[in-house]
Amino acid sequence: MCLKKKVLILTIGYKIMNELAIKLSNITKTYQLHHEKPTLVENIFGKRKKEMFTALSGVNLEIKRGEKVGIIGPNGSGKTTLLKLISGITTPTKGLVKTWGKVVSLIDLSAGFHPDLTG
Amino acid sequence: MLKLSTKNKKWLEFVLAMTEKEIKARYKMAIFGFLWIFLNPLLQMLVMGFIFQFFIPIKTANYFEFLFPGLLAWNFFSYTVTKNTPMYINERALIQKAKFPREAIVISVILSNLFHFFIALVMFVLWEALIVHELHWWRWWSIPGIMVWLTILTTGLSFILSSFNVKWRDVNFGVQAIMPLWFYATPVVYSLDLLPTWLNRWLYLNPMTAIMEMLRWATLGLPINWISVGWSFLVTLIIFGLGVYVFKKESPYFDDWV
Repeated sequence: MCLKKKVLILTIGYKIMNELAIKLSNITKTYQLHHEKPTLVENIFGKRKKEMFTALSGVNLEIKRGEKVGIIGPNGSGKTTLLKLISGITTPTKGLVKTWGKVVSLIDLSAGFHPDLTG
Repeated sequence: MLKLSTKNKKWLEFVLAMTEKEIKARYKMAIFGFLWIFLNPLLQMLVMGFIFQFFIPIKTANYFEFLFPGLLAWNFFSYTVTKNTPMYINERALIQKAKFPREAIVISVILSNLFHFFIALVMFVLWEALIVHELHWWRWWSIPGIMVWLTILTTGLSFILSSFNVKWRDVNFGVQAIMPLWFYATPVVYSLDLLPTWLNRWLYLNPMTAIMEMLRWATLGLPINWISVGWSFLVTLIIFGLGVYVFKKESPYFDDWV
């Protein structure tokens, strides 16, 4: 029973693989906000409730092979979060990210430099 | 030959490249360069050896000989853990911008420090072989095993502290405060038989105690209580297991907190 399910998923996965490059299913990403400096007493007694921020909620996205996709939106609408989830830099709170092929994120030029080893 | 899958091979290459970077960057722009590997513990030993031999009546022929291997091991441990604790915060530029095995950062620091530790230890062994001719050779061969144990302990603790430090930056301050205390809770400058017996047993809950005692057993041929060492080993395994567990649980979300 369990094996059959696995085989089924594998065959579906293979069929999708031929067309899809990126598939997001029901992605939700919540961040815990910590902009205020918490006081020690509040932290210890846990009276402050956690302030959560949902950056993405229930996002479904399929990008096929060879497709060019642009993501547009106002500040704070979750564009960066979406890209970070696709590239695997961070992990969704809920949902599944699947990618086929090589995912390369465009890195800021100085990200990997060591101050002492660069010219 | 060891056969590795492509994935593991890439992982290993990445870790080794990071390690190389750590080693190269450490003594960059330092005139003495790699000489510091040996110079640093040597100076430390001279100062401590000079002071503590007046205070602590240790019945050993050569106090410096007693002190040096333990000091090397302690330096490796404390330097690695202190450096690793804030490592994910320091490397946030990389973490926020690329996907890579997060454990590589911590492991590269451990490996580069292990490299330094190993070189200093080899010099010590050579020194002993040339000056002191009476060596317990079969015991000396257990040193790599002790180093493996020490590395497992350091890795576990590094994983726990660096993972927690991402969420709670207090951890870093805590480590800086505790390390000097831990130094005195470990028989580096003194030996266990100077303590009362009841305390003696409890000190083995600190795994560094077993490391020190085993190093002395190996280099100086001092007696050792193997049952107590077993307790230390158990504590080490718990720390390592906990480290791997915490790291696996926390590392996918490092980007959200750095």
